[in-house]
Amino acid sequence: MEITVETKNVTKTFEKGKVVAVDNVSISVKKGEIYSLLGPSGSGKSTLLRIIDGLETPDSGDVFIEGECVTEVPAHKRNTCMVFQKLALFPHKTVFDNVAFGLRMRKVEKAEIKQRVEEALRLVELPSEVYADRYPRQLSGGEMQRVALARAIVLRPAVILFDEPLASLDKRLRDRMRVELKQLLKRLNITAIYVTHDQQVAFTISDRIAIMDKGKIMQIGTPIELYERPRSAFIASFIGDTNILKGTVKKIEKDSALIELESGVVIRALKEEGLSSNKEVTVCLRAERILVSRKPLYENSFEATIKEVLYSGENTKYFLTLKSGLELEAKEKTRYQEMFSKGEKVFVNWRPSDVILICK
Amino acid sequence: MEHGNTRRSIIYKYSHFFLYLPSLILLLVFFAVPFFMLVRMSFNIGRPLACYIEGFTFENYARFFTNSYHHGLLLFTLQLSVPVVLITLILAYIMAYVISRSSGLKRFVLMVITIFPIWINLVVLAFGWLLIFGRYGLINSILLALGLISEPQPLGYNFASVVVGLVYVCLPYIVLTLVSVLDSIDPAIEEAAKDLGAGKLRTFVEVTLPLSMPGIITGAMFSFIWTMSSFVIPSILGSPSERTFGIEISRQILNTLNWPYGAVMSLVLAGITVVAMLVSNKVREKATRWVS
Amino acid sequence: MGKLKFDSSRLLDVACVLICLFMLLPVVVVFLSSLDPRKYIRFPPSEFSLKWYEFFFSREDWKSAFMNSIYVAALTTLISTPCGILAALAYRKYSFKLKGLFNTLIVVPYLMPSLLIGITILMALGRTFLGGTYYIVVGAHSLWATAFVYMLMQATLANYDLTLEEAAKDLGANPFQTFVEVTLPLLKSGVISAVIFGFITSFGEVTMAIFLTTSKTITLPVRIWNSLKYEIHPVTLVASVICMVFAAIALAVVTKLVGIEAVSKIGT
Repeated sequence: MEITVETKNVTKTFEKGKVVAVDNVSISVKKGEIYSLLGPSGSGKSTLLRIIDGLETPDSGDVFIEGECVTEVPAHKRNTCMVFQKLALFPHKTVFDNVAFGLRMRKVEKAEIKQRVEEALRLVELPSEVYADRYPRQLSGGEMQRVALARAIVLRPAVILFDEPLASLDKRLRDRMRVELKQLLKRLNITAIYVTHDQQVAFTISDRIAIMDKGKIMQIGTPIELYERPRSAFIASFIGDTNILKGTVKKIEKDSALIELESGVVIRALKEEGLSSNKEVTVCLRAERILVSRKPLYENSFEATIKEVLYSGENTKYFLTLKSGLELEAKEKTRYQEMFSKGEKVFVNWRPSDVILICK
Repeated sequence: MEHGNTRRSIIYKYSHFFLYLPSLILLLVFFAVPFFMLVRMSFNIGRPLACYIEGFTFENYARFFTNSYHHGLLLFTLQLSVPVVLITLILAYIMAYVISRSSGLKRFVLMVITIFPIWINLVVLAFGWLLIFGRYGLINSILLALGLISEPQPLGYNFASVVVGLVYVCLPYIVLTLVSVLDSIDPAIEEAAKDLGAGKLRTFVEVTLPLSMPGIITGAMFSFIWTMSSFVIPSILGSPSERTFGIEISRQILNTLNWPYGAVMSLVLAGITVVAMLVSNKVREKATRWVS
Repeated sequence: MGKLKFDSSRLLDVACVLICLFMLLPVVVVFLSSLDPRKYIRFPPSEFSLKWYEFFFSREDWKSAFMNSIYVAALTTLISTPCGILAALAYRKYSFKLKGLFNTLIVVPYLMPSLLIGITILMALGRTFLGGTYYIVVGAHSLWATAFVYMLMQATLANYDLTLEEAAKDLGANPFQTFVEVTLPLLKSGVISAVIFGFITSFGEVTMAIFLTTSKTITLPVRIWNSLKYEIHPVTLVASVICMVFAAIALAVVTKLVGIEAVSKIGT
């Protein structure tokens, strides 16, 4: 598989080295791939994106685009294109002139500019007969997104970099734009790096995701890999609602392991490589994998009391306390007919395969 | 956030400095060097009508610190600043309060009326007041027309007309300072005070006034400094007995032609200015402890 | 304010109207008096004519003072506009160690009394090749004008989205193209305002000019000053009205361009 973008040991500090924004980061993005950088604010994901675009220069490390080292190449000479968070459409230029800007800077002929701009506008479903002469302030939020996208794809760059451009839209529009964006990128086989702090956006749009925290890459993988096999408690808690517990391996059996939690509760998990008795592990239990019931169901089943019920329409969250004092959070699709109420005595159940073990 | 490209080139690295350079050269030639020369000038030998004689002496300082006439002028100017600062603050606060509580056309008109005098030069404004206070000026004609007086009264060329003129030229700046402070007060804070049971006056005294203290202090400082250094306004609107410190400095430079002595007086004025700024900064810090 | 009913905002409005009258009074009086054809100024005017306006433009000394003012103001604008704009851009775009110091330095001349600036420049440069030329006045005025342009541009730049420049760069524009295509058009109104502001600051400045001009380089405000000090003549009123008209036009244009709120931020 061809590699489009690659960073090697890129480090960037601000304020004379006091703030490490990007810490020794190496990623490689394949051609046609949608690659997300996911992390909380301040994790360095935007800085990494700006380094790839050339708006920032790394203190050390190198950036390669289509196999060529571009670390010393300024932004305006790189074959990359950014869709900015606030879109950065030129307010004093029409839609046509905004989209044509990059082509004009590349001294493309007028006739070709016209043809390519019209094509780009058509791709983002803004017919140029209607939109070409409008100014950005005459557009809706969704239309502005499309113009920003057209301004990037018209240049046919090696990679398009997205800096959370959907964050300012309301949820409904955001969901629609997300689907459209993915379809368009896949149809045109465009390589894209997408920065976001929104797990849902990253999961639905990406082929692969790199999760960042404090300037470091925590884990790289497909959405499924990240969700089902997180390699650290940070990843497990950053994605989804997760109960994170500390425990020690008690006993290894044929294909399962018994783990004693700090609260004294012993639970059963699947046997994994590298597990041995007395080994300390972190246990992650996804809230939605814990089933609340009136009767015991699976191998792991414990009596519990409901402390609090959070009903949010589609989902319901239960906060539970086990006899041993262990507190758990369970989430399920609301089943209106069989909701539990506060104070009720119930059972919490989960399968051994639902237990995620993270070894130190 | 930094937008420079640190690794790329020296021009990028120091572009901020190059952008400041023209201004810094201007400041060096027309501000820093002249102030240094002023200090040097104060040690030259001064003789009336001689501009200065190259030398090094402390006699100008000695003369100033023993000259009771010039101490008197300084005292007079300080006395002048008291009514100017107080009246300016009161009028400016009322104006600023109304401006910051209004919007749309009303605010626009009030703003324009406030700002316009700033753009006109001092002499023209002083001239206007001269015509108002004059023997055949606006006030005398009104009083005559109303039959309150039978012949024109001498209204101009006195302490009061100087105060009016100085208040007039200080007012617009102080209004604008106060408007920006009053604008920055969240209306919800005043609403909260009212909601908690404070009346309008109480709300003003307990909330609005303390919150606008920084602006009041800055305004007081500027009107004080401008009065202390005033020279154009009092020499047009005052009589010889309204001789301010600023007028005397200008006389030393332009008429008596004793530059070293004028330099000493200028340094005294510069000192007063700097002290006023430092004091007001300290007071403002105290009045705004809640900020940090 | 004890017994004063503070909640009657009407009282405040009345006070405000009186203050407005106070502010406008000298302007109105000067303007009306300038139309009075009598040789000795009395208020109110008995009749209206343009006699003194014709007189003004027939007098070489007044005309040359007027031209001197224009010349000095134009040169001041030429110097202060680039100085102020570049410094404001640096302030907005970069962060560096001496930023705070530079920022204060540029504004300091405006905080210092103009009397002192005029005197120091006279003492330091009055006997050099600059003495008695236009350039000594221009330099002094540029100190103030630069500070004003700087403050005005800071107010304009505060709303200026720097990512637009990044977007231009990202789309392939080099720094020069970025400046011409994006920065300049977006800051156009601010720049024009700065030019006008620099001009009017110099055109109306009197205190420094009193010390720095000679009979050859005398500016209009200084000519008015001399007239007020030594012989008040009705033609002085015409000169004053000309100053007011310049100020009014400048204020109107700048207000139209950047709005009254931005104008109000300068010098406070």
